[in-house]
Amino acid sequence: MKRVSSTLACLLILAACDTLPQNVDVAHKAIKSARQAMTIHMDDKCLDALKKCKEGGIVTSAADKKNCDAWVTCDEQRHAWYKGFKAMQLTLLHALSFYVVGEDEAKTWYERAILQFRSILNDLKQHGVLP
Amino acid sequence: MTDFLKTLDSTTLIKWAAFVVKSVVDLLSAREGRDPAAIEADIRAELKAIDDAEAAAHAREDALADS
Repeated sequence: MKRVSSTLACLLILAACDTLPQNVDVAHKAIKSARQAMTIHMDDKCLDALKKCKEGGIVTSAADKKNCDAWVTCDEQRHAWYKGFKAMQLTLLHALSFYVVGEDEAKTWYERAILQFRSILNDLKQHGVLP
Repeated sequence: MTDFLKTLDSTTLIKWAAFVVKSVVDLLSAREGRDPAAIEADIRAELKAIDDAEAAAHAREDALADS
């Protein structure tokens, strides 16, 4: 009986893994939405900082320097987030490709993508990009 | 029914149970189920969109910086 129970448990786990493409689909859409929100926010923020930097002309005053530094920081931050979103999508792709060839690692890759997503979501919330 | 089940060996029961579980999961996931290849194509399109958005942002900033 114990053997039957453990076999059934394994089958249930395998059945749960079968929903992976749907899970990946939902995660992909959520990541895409977060990325679009971040893009709009950062584009406005970075361009605004750049405009203020340019208005200052030759950077002499502390205020001009602050605006120009804000632009550089914004640009670096945006680049880091773009890389983060790309990494999440690649991780989802890994999950999907492992699923297609029937590898158990599919679930691990999916969970890794979700962890990355939670981390970047927290980051975006802390920076006021997402509510 | 119970007598009939008693005549089945554990391997057959497991196969039946697996079939039932698989059918339920398939039914549940079929509601919004999509082909993995279609999902993959969407993710690849999003990867391109990420690169395009980054390139476009840099182009806008470069244009503003040069103006």
